[in-house]
Amino acid sequence: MLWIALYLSALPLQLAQRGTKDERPLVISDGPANRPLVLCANPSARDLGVKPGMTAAAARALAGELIVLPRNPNHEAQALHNLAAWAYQFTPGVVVHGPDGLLLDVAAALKLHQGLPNLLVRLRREMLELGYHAACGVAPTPGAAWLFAKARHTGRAVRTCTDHAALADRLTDIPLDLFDWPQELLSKLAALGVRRIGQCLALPRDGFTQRFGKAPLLELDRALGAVPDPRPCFTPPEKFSSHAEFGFEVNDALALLFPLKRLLKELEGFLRGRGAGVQQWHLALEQSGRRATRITLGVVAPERNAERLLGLARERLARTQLMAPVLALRVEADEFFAYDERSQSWLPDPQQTTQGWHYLIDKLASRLGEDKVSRLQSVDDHRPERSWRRTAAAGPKAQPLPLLQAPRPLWLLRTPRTLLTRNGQPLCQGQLRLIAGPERIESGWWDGRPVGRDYFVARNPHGETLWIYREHRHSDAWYLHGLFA
Amino acid sequence: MGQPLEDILRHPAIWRVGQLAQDSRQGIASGYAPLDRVLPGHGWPRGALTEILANQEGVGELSLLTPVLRRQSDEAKGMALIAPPYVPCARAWEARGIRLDRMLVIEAEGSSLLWAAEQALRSGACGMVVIWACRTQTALTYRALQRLHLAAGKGEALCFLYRPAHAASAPSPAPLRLSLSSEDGRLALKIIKRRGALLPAAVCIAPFPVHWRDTAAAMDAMVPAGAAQPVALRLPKLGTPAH
Repeated sequence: MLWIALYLSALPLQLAQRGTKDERPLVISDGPANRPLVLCANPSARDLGVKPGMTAAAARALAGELIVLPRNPNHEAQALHNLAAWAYQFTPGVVVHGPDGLLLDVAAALKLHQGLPNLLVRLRREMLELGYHAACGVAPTPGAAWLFAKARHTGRAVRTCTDHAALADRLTDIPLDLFDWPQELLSKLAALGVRRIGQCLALPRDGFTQRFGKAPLLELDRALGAVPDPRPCFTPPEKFSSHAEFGFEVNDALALLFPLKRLLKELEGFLRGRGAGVQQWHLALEQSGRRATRITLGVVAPERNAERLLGLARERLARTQLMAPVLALRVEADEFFAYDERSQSWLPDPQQTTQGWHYLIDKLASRLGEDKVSRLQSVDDHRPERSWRRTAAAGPKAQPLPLLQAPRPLWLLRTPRTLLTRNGQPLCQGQLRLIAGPERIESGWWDGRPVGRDYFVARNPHGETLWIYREHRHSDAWYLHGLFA
Repeated sequence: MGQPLEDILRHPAIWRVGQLAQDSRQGIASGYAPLDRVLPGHGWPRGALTEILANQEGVGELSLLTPVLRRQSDEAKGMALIAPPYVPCARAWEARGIRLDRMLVIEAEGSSLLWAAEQALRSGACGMVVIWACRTQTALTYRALQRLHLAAGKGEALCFLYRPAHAASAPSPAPLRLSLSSEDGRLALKIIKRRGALLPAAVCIAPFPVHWRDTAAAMDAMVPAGAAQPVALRLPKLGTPAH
């Protein structure tokens, strides 16, 4: 067994700051509504003298333009849950620990990630990309890993411990106040002069249990690995929904890209954990005094690369008018599809070409609109205006139709244009000469749009070759229907 | 002293007056032998902008490109038509051997037309991009054309740009510029700019079936020169089923 503990200190503050690069003084308040206390403060607030524990009013007096955000435990729990789903890509053994930590059982995943150092580097780097920073602790038991992570956060030099035999020795110096034990218990122990795990273990076990109860000793034994420490494993959720709050108003749609990138990185990790990709995802912009603006973005083939999804969202946001300032951003996805991971290759790869093609289509569609990018498909109908249709830009190949032998122009007019006539002869920038035809097209009596036309190829004095027809019924009316371009 | 000069003259960007530039890269055959003979590289230049200037529609301006479109679709490469002026008639394109499942039709105008063209060219996923800029209101500046040219170079794509004939006097970074006109049912191509000596005479190609021209010639022969009254067309009697 080998566990990595991730301790997210001051999680509420991290959550408030991950949506923005803004460095304004900011504190998170907690406690009764009529007398909120500062729970944690960001560096620029601390520079102004704001300290955790003081009242929010006192903090405001110290720092003029202080942003005070109330703590929201639901958001914290949700964020930790999302982070657990993201960590699921590294190992299936993910445990949510308390309100601000994750434990990863990585023993079985070390080979996949080419060793513990590589895995730790990757974890740290990718968490920074999400906008989180965590203290890591590594130990053969989850309890010890958690203690190491907290110890590292308090500034202690803690080396990773992978060997079970060395664990007891390493734990000796860890202070007891890193346990989440009641303050009363800690002060009693301190009164005895017992401040470290080593000292605590030196006490007689029976006496310790009689005085302080079973729970503390059990926790110590679990950390040492003397007693099994079963942990409930995290089950990834069926849907993805992640949220970033700004704490102030954002007026420019493109300024949303920074937090969006973090949320999409989270989505990418979530999808990696499931081996899946999305074809559709939603972006909700929560605005002041209005219902959230919901934007649905789609791709033609399952995708999970955050950079690509961001590239498409950028095009889409560039043509989005914000009706009101945005306060928060939410990314949601609920339908997942199998995703083929591509391998890096320097040989031309037909699959990669297809992916480039799909990405091009997505990019064009997100900027121009989906109806502006299409493909043509021929339809088995003799009526020229019904012999084609638009289809989605990416899709399966159509069944080929037998080739037509009769002349058809490369360009069709959207609607046939009436031609002037002189003495019954059609005119189009001069007298038309008929050079081929007629071809009779008589069809469609069954669907209410019957046509009965004689088509001719005609040329005008400028040398332009046209496709014209006349109706059976009104034989003197001529129409231009296409151009032999 | 003579040797270094010879070396310099062998550089692909240098040609002598009266010669065609020896393009180091083979062009893509246009499908029209008389045209290939006068193009540097004996075909359409790959990774470069080619301008086609024409005021007329229906003279074979698109048939000029159907052989190369067909070739691209045979090689399963992506193609993009940007802002086509009319609806492409799917059956006619297929009859010319062009498969439509890898051909995007993109509606755009103004600056988004140029953006879409650049994206398609730059992506490397498109082997060929055809742009119609005849109706767009935005003026195509030299800078915009240069962007297209560079994007075509990056994506190694063929890029054709249709423009009105009066654009011939405007400077352009395109290495190949053609002006089109109709000449007795055939398409006359005048090369305004190419890498090589200027070609005074137009090259004629026949984009349409030969018998159409014959019919036209036959009809011409029937029309007396200077006839005041238009000669009646030989229309088949109404109601006669032709098919």
